[in-house]
Amino acid sequence: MNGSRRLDVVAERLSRALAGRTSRRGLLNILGGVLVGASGLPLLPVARGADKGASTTGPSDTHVEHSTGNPQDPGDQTSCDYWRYCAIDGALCSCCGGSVNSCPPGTEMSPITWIGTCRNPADERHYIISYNDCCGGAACGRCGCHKNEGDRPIVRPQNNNEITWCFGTQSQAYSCSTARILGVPLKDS
Amino acid sequence: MRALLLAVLSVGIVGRQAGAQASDATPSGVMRPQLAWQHWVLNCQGCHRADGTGSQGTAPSLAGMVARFVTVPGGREYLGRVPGVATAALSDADLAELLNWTLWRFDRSHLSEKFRPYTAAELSVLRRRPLRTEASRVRATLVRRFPGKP
Amino acid sequence: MSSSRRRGRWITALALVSGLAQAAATDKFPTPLPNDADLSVRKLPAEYPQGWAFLAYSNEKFELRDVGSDERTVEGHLPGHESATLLVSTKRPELYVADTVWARGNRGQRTDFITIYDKQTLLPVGEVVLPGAKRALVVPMQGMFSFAADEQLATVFNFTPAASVTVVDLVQRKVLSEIEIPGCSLAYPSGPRGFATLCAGGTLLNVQLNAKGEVASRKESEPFNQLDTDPLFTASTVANGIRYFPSLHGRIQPLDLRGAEAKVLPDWSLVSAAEAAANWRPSGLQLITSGDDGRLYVIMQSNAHEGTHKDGGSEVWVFDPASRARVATIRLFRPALSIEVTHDREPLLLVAAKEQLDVYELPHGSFVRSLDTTAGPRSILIEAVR
Repeated sequence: MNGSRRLDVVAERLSRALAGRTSRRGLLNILGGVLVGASGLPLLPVARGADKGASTTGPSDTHVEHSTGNPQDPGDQTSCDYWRYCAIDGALCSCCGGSVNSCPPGTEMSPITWIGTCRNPADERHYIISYNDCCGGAACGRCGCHKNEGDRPIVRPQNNNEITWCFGTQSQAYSCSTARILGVPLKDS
Repeated sequence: MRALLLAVLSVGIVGRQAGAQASDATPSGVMRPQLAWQHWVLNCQGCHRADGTGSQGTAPSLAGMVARFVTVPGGREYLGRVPGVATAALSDADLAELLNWTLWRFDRSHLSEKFRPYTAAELSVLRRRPLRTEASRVRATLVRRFPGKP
Repeated sequence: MSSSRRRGRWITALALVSGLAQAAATDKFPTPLPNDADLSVRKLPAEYPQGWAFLAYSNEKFELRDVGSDERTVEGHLPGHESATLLVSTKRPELYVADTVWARGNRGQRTDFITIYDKQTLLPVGEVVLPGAKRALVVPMQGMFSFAADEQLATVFNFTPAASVTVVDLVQRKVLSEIEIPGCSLAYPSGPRGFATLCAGGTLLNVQLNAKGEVASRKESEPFNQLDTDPLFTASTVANGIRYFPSLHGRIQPLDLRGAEAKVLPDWSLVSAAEAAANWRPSGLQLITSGDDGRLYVIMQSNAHEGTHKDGGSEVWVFDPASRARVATIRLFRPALSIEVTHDREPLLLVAAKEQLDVYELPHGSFVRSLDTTAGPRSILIEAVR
């Protein structure tokens, strides 16, 4: 088996082993780093086809920007810097087969969740964001983000992002997190 | 987070309310239903769910149920002492409106004309003694007093 | 010459060369190594050296590590699965891990259980299944799994999202009771036979238990936890019997939980006015610890702002709680997320800094060594052997 194929297999096995076994935080620990973009694994230095005498380096960045195309909803929804993710803690469903407001196939969206607020830089509004977790599938482990604006200790669970918010679902195993807009707080609140 | 809310430069766009329409009969004891809804979302909806059905054995269901408490002795006090209400991160006045709104939003059919809306003064007293280890027992006792079938 | 014959010649040549080399080596060591004994498993000492510490990797596993010597050896592991938490007994030769698994890996029947491990063999010697599958599944933190009644009991914090505590008798290895604590979170040992929990009204609820593990008495304090403006972290440490909680903006809240009546003691500030103006604040995961000298160690970050309270900090400030004075400042070469002080005669400061564990000598804070961990970007919890 040539070198690049072997690395692919190793990476795939590692990914499966980790995905099947670990909680969101454990997987993020092992994979390392605040992962940006769809490429969740450390990038491999050897390109496919190197044995055929092709160039020995491949693309160094496999990240693809996923923007909404809506100027009022700016930013890359697969990046931790996207405005709705100001207090998200976990893997982004946008990188896991879901989207910013929907769960990947094979998971269930938890109706029980915690709710925060984030500022949209395009229209300067603060939006109420519901961070519904998707539960029961594999631990996706991609695009891990650890943001804490407005997070408070667990004594106020409604403001805490350290809880695995998988309640009222068939399974409580964590897969990824969404960030759904619920509304806009009033000016005088 | 409340500081963030205070700093909002909203142009006053109304948020979405699942179900209830602003044009419905106004809930009694609620001067600002939109604000009450917002407090509901940020403090309660996460566990009791957007439709108020809660979860078995965890966050009790409010839908079709919660206003029944004010019809039995001890029930009115219970709603002001249950920890989710008593220790909510809200002023007495906001809390009173939220409680009145919640009763109207999720269990209007059990609210009679005789219902006296909660006031800030009333809640300021009740919330000083939140129920703790005895909360379930108290609730079960009250539920047994509900007349007839749900 | 055909390729197979060419290959044959190379093999012959290699064999000749290696044969010559082998002859020289066996002259040097005329007797071969002895055969290894039968299947063997290493056993740990009955008393762990105080240079050892448990590293909890986001609780996927617990690694027992020699942090006190340059050997840096891994001494053993305990498994963990989902929000697993560890208690290390000082009264019995046992370790306890509270954990959660699902029958099909990530779905199916859920089981919460405490495994009791023998301290020397690290083999399970007992188990207590926790009813209801209600254990809080959260980022592991103090207070999820605690001793009570001088290690006779353990408390497990449940969150469904209704809050309750399951009381377990560790000696009889059975569940005694489940006590509802709506609006409260986590549990710390309190009094001769009870636990204290912090509640959403800014109060502390102290629950004392009877012999059956049921509520004998309960008392709630006046509000003291300023949840809106300056909430207490969940991390705390016990020094000279008093439990100290840091707050978001750098106060310290001492609680005396030694007697049956919990006492909320006066708080004080870790930061001067100038330091507060520079936004020096505590930050991290296991961000406060204490040494056998009774001093408090706190991870501090400068230029803190909303959202940075778990980022960790570049300095560890050391306080004498009696005088409330800062007695030392340890500047770290790599920011800390979690800290722990060992109980060695010459204590060490252990600093979890993402992929590494950095070790500093005390009291001066001179760097000694780094150990690799498999922690990645998220921090670990550390428990030094007593």
